[in-house]
Amino acid sequence: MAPVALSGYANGRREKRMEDTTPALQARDLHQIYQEREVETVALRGTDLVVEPASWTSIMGPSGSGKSTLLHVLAGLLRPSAGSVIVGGKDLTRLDPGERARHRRRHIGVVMQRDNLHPLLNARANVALPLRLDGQRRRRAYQRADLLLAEVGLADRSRHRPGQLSGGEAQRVAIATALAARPRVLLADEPTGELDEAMTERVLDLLDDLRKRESLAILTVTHNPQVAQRADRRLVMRDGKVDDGD
Amino acid sequence: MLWLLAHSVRRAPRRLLLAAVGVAFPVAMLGATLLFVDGAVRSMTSHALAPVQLEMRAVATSVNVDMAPVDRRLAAVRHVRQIDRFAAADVVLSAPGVPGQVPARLFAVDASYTAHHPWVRVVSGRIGDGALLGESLRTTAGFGAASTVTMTLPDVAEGTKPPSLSLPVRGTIDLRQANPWFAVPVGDAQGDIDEVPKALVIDYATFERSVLPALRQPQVDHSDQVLDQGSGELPAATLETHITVDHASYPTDPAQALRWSNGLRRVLERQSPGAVVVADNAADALTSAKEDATNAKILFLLLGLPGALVAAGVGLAAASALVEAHRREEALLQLRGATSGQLARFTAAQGVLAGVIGAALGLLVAAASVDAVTGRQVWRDTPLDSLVTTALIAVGAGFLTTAVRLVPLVRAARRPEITNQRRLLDRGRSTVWTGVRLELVLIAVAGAILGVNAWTGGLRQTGLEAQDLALAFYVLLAPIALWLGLTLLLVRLLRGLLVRATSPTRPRPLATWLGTALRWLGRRPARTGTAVILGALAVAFGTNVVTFAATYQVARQSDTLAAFGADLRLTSTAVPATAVPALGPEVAATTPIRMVPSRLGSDSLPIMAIDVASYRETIASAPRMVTGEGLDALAANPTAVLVSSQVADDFSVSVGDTLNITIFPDDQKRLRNINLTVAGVYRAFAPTDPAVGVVTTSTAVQSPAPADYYLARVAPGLSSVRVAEDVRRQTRGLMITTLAQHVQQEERGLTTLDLRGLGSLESVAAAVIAGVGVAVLGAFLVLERRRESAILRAIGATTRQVLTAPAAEGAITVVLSLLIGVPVGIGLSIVSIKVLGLFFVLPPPLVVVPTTALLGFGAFMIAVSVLALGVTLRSVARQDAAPTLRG
Amino acid sequence: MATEQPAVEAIALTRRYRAGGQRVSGLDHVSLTAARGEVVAVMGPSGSGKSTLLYLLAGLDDPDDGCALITGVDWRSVRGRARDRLRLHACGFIPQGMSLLPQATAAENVEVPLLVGGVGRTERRDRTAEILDRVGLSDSAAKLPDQLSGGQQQRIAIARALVSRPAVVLADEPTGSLDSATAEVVTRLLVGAATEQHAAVVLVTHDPSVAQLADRVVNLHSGHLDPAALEDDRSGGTN
Repeated sequence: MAPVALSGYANGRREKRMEDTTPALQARDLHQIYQEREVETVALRGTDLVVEPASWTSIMGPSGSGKSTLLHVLAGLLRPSAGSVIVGGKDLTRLDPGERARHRRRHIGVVMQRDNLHPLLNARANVALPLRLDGQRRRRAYQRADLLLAEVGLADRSRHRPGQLSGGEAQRVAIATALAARPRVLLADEPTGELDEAMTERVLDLLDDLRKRESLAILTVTHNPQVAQRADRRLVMRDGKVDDGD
Repeated sequence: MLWLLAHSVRRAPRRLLLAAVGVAFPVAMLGATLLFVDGAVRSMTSHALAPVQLEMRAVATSVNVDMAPVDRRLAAVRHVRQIDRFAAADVVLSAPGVPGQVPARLFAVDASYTAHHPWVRVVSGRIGDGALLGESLRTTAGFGAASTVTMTLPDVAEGTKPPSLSLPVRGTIDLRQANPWFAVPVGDAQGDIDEVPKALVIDYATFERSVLPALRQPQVDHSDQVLDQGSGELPAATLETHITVDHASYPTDPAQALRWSNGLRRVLERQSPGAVVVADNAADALTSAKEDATNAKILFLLLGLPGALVAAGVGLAAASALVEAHRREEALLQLRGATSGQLARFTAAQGVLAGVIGAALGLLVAAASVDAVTGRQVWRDTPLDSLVTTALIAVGAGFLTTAVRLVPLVRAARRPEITNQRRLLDRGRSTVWTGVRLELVLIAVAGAILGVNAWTGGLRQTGLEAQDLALAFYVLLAPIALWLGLTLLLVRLLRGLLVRATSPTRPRPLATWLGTALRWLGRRPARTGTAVILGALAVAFGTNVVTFAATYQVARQSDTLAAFGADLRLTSTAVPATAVPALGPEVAATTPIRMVPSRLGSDSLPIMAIDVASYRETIASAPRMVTGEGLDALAANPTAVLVSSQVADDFSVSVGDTLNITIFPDDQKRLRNINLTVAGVYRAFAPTDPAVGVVTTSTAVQSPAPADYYLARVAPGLSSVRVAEDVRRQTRGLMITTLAQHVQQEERGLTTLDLRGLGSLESVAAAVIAGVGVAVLGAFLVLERRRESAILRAIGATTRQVLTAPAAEGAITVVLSLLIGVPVGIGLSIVSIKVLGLFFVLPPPLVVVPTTALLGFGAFMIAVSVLALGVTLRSVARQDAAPTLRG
Repeated sequence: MATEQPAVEAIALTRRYRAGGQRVSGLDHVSLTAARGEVVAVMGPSGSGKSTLLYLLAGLDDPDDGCALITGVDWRSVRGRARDRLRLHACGFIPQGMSLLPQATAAENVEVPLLVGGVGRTERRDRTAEILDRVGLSDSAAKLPDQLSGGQQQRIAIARALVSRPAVVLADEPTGSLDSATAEVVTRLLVGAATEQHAAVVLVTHDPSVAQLADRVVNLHSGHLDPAALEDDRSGGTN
C-alpha cells in the first residue's frame, strides 16, 4: 500500500513521504533520575525502544512504572539523565531546549490524557497552534486546520472552545492538533482515558485510519486493555524498563 | 505571538483586568499623592505673594535721571499692570511757633497713588496743592495744628543759603502700613526697614516743580550721588517708579515664579540701562516659598511613599493568582512546540499590556480621588508639563511593579524543562527575605541614618529665624526603612513562635476544632504571613499619616498662638495713639507691647518692651528659654534683658554680659544710651510675629509713650470673635484683630499646608489596601484550599466547620495587622515628627494620637476586610465537593 | 441470620451530565445493594459512571431520578447539617488520589472525623491509636503526608475512613496510582479492616486484580449495569 500524503504543505515545502525503512523513532538506553528533596526516584533504567513507520506500538504498565516519564522524554519535553532519542533524523538529547521545541512541533505529535487544548482558543485555533508557532501564516495554518478537523469529523465544531466540547470531541481535536504539522510520530498518553467505551472505539478507529493513510508511527501508553489490543505490537513497562511481552 | 495575545484578551478579559488592577494600585496611590502635593505647592506662591505690597521698584541711579521716558518704557512692558511715580528725600522741617527744626522724610506721589495702593491711607485732606503730614509728625510739638510747613534740604554746602519751600498743610496721612516707602530699596539690605518716624507727603507735580531742581543743584551734596547699593539706610534722595505686577501673572509653582520674577526684573532694568536699578520685592517671599515648596514635596512624599509601596505589594499578591493558570497554559504551549523565547515574549507582552491599562486606570483613579478630597479639579489647574511629570513618575511605579511581576515569570519561561512539583505543603520555603534577614538590615540602616543625623546636629531646632531648613532627603528614608523593618521583624517573630508551637514533631492530640485550624495554620503560615505583612504595613502607613497630620495641626496651632500672643490685638487708631481704655469684664487682662527702635553698635536692633506683670496675665504662650531665666529675671531686675538665640549667636553674647544699647537713635528728643544685662537666651518669646531679638521691660526703656499695641485675653469660656465685636461696638479709636484674622494674613507657606486633606486621602487608601490584602488572602484560600474543603465535606464536616479555618486565618490577619500596624505607625510618627520639628518655631509635641480618627480608620479597615472575608467564606460554603474531588 | 437492611442501596439511580450539548457521562437506572460486611467492587472503563455512582451513594451528589439510601435513610430526606452528620457517622469516604489534609500529621488526619463529630479527647486518642495500629502505621503518627509513600498515604486514608466505625466505606479508585504489589496490600487491608468492623465496602476500580478481592463485582458500561458480567468470585475474601 503506497502511502498517500494529504494535500497541504508543512513549512512551505512539499514533504515527500518516501518508502522509508529507517525507524520513525529510536530510543537507546534511557535513564532518568528525579531528585526531590530527600528522595531520589529512578524513573527510567536503561529503556530501549524502536518504533517503525506506519506501526502501532502500545506500552502498558502500572502506575509508577515510568510510562509518563518515558513519553515526556520521547516527546523532547524532558532531557533524560542519559541516553539518546532519535526522531526525524536528529538526536533530541543533543539539542538545546529551543531547538527541541522547534523539532517537536515539526516532527512529533503529542496527545496527553487531558489538557491538550488551550482553553482560550477554539478548536480551529488549537489545531493551527503548532503551525502558527512555527511561523506559518494565518490563512495557510487555518486551511490546514479546517482540513484536519474534517478528517476527524469535527468540521462543524471548529468554532467551539474546549469547554464546549465533549471528552471525545476534545480528544479528536487534540489528535488533529498533534497531526497539524504532519509529524512522523504520534505519541499518545492514555488518549482515551476519560472516554467511554463507544467513544474510545471511535477514537481508536481514527488513529488506525491515520496510521494507514499518513504512514504514521503511533505509540500509545496506556493501562487500558481495549487500547492495547489495537496495537500491532504490545510492550510492557515495569520499573523503568520496557519488556517485550503480552 | 500577538495573535495569541489577542485571543487571550478576547477570551479572558478578567485576567487582564486583574493584572491591570495589580498595576493600577500603586500608580493610583503614587499619582494621588503627587497630584495632591502639586496642588498644595501651587497655593504657596499666592500665599507668599499676598503680603507683598509692591512687586517691583525701579530706582533712579541718580537724581539727574529723566524719569519720564523711563516711565513710558516701563509701563509698556508685558505683565506690568501699572506704574506710579514716586520720590523721596530727607528734609528738615520748621513750622510757625515750632522752635528749631525737625528732620523728616519727604515723599512725593501722584494723587492716584493712594487709589492704586490702599496701604497708604489719607486720613484727612487730599494729595494736591499742599502737604499732608504723617501722624507721627502731627504728634510732634507744634506740628499738630500747624497750617504751614517749611522744608529745607539738609547737607547744603557751607555758607550757602539752603533752598526752602513753604507749603500749606492740607491734612493728615497714615503711613503705618506703607512699609515699602521705609524699606531700603536695593542691594543687600533691600527690604530692611529703616525707621523714620516723621514724614510728610506732597504731590509729585509740586515735587517736580519745586524740590527736584534744588536737589539737582551742584551745591547740594548728593546731587551726583550714585545710588549706593550696599547701604543699610534709605538714600538721602531718590526718584523711583513703583511697578505693580498682577499676582495672577506669576506662575503657580514657587520655583518657577521666582525665576519668572527674576526674569521680569531684568527685562524692566533693560528698558533703561544705566538709568535705573530695579529691585524685586517679591524675590524674598518667593525664595522662602520655593524652599518651603521643596520641603513640602519631600514631606508629602515621606508620608505618601509607603502607601505606594504597600499598594504595589498588594497588587503583586493579587496578580500572583494568575500564576497557576499561566503555568498550565505555558505547559500546553510547550507541548505544542513553543520555544522559551516565544513564551518569554508572550509573557512579556501580556505583562506590558496589563501595565499600560493599569497605568491608565491608576491615573484616572488618582485624579478622581484627589478631586474628591480637595473639592476641586486639581488636574485642570495644573500646567501641562507638570501633569506630564506627575503622570510619568506614577506610571514609573506601575512599570516597576510590572517588572517585578514579570521577571520571575519570564525567567521561568526560559527554563522549559518540565519539573515534577510534588510538594504538597508549602511550608514557608526560604525566600530572599528569610535568608538575608532583610528586616534587620532595614532597621540597622534606619538607625544609622538617625544616629548620624542626631550626632551632626541635623535634627536640632536652631530657633526662630532659621529660614534654611537642612532637610536632607536621606533622613526621610529612615522612617520608611523603620516601617518595613519593624513590621517584618514583628511578623517574623510571631511566625517563628507559631511554627515552633505547632511543629508536627510534638505530637499532641487535637483539642478543639478551632485550635486544630490554628495548629494547621502554623504549619503553613506563608499565605497568611504575607497577608499580615501587607495588612500591617498598610495599617502602619495609615496610622502614621493620621497621627502625623494631627500632631502637625496641634503644632501649627501652638505656633500660631505664639505668633499672635493672646486672643486679641488692640491697636489705637487715634493720631496720636492713645492708651487703651478699660474694657469691661469680657476682657480678662491686657498688656502693652512697645516696639522700641534701637541700635547696638552700628546694627539696628528693635527691642520689644513689655510690662512683666500684665504680660504674665495675658500671654497665651510662655517663653521658651534656652539658657538663663525668663520672665522671673525681668521681674526681678527691670534692667535685665532677654535675647534670642539668633542675636546671642550674631553678637556673641551670653548670660551675664552687658549690652550698651542706644534707643530711639533717630529721635533727638528721646535718644538715650542704656545698659542692660543679659539674663537669658530664648528660643521663642511670644508674640513671635513680628520676630524680635531683644526683650526687656518698659521700665528699662522708660518709655512714657503709649504702646504700639495691646494684647488682650478674653474671659474664659467666651469667644474671641464675639468679644471683639462687643469691644468694637463699645469703644472708638481701636482696631481689634483676632487670631483668625491674623492667621489669614501672616502665615508662611509651609505652615499653612493642609495635611488633613492628605491625611484623609492616605488613610482611606490605607484602609482599602488593607482590606484588599484580606480579599487577596481570601481568594487564595478559596483557590488553594478547594480540595481540602471538599475532603472535609466528604468526611462529613458541617459548613461551619469547613469555614472555621479560612475564617480564623482572615480574622487573624485583620487582628494582627491592627495590633502590629498601629504601634509601628505611631512609632513612625514619632520619628517623622522629629523631622517636622524643623518647620516650626516651637518644638512640636512628641506625638498627638488622634484617637477618634484612628478608631474611624480602624473601623473602616475592619469593615472592608469583613466584607472581603464574607465574600470568601460564602464562596467556600457554596463549593460543591464532588466536582473538586473527582477532577 | 436475620435479614439486615442493606448498609447502602441504590435504587434505579439516574444522573446525567452535559457538556457541549451532549450527554457526557452519567448513570441510567442503576441499582445496587451492599450489606454490612460485604465487599462490592464496581468496575468499568472511564466515563462509565462508576464514580458518579459512588458520589450518589455518599450523598455528595443528588440523582436526577431514583434514590440512594444509606443505612436505610434516603439522602434526599436530609439536608444541610443533618446530611453532613449522616455522612460523618454512616459513611467513610475515600476520594480518588491523595485525599489527606497536607498540613495535618497522619494521626491528626485520622482523628479528624472524631473531632468533627465531637468525640471526647480520651476516646479520640484511644480510637486513633487503635486504628493506626490496625493499618500498621503507629510509628508514622507524627509524619506529614509528603513524608509518606503513596501506599502509606492510602492506608492512612483507610484508617480515617474507618475510625468513626461507619456502616459503609466508599472508596474511589483506592489503588489508582499504586504499583501492583502495594495495590494488593492496600486492598487486602481495606477489605480486612472493614469487614472486621462489619462495615460494607463499595469500591470503584478499573483494576481487575483489585476487584478480585471483593465478594461481588458489578460492571458498569456507559451508565448501565452489565448483567452478564456479574461475577460471584470470592478469592481471598473473608466470609
